[in-house]
Amino acid sequence: MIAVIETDIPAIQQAIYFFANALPGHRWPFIYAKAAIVSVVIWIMALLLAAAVHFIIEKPAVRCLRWLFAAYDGARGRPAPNTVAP
Amino acid sequence: MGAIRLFLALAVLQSHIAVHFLMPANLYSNSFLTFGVNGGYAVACFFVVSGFLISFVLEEKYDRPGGTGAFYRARAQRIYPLWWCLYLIVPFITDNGLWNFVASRHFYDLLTGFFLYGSDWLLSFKAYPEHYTTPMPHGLELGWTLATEMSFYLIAPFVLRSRILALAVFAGSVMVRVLLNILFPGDTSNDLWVTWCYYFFPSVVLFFILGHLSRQLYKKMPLSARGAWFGLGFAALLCLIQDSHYGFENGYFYAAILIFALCLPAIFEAKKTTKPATSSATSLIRFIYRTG
Repeated sequence: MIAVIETDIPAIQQAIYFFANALPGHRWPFIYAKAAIVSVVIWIMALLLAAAVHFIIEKPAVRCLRWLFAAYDGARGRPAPNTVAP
Repeated sequence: MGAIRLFLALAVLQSHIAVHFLMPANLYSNSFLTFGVNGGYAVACFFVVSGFLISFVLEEKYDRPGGTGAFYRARAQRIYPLWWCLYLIVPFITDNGLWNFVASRHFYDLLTGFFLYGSDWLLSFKAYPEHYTTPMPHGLELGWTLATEMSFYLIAPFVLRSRILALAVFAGSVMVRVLLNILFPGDTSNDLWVTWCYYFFPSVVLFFILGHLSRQLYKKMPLSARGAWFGLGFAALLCLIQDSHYGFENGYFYAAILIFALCLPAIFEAKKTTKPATSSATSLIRFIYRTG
């Protein structure tokens, strides 16, 4: 999500600017409330993105690396480091 | 512990939201949503948590012959899969594609960026006093924290297993940090301070060792879970007090992170031994069933 934020997508920035100025209230409690709404919405999006990345990217990638390590161990003819001997 | 790490991750995210979204829309907010914990503090707290957890797993899981090799392998399995995927995907979003990214980098940029080791040193000193973010794709510059973590993992099995060495590294890092703060006073708005007191591994390794030392202290003087939660609240209060009044380096921050480190083992133990909510609910249902 930070990578997305760092790209400074103009459409998102304009939408937030529009939201900030369209809603009434320019004193500090309203500014804080609007900042809180924007932040919490992005937090929720970030959590959903993190969950998606975990299941779609991270889990298969971890499985792939474990398979590579297991293949390496197999080629060297030794048990994996965390294998408990019977 | 998961909740604490989630909170810290949100604090880092919030600091980026504030700079890229809130301030351009005149919605500037200080860190009130994250109890005064800004991105920099969250990174330091992450290092403390990491030091604590690595100290725990080294003693509980890898304290056997061949344990060090197994530890390195486990760390690689934890860090690299997601990092490599992001490293290959993010250039398509922020750098006009992977080939464009690869073609515009030196070999040492790609090597240190891909394997993380050394990218924090390049960041600090390759274009000194500017910051050299080239090894990472745009948007993944935060990867320097992973590079610092990897450097810590490299020394952890040797440093944390020796009480004298751990104390020596801690004392050395504190001295380096004090000295660098005298030479480069300032806060996160000062590039030289950021280079020497934020990115420079010898001056931040003290946070990792703090996590380890707090665990050693807890074994001798356990803290109650209630006291730990109270302490955590007090640390958040200290961060709230200093928020937007001071720079990164101030007494409030150091008091807060010290309290945070001291409370961490008790919270970890409390969460480890607390029964899941479902079992309490099951006990309640059984109790009602029997008495009914």
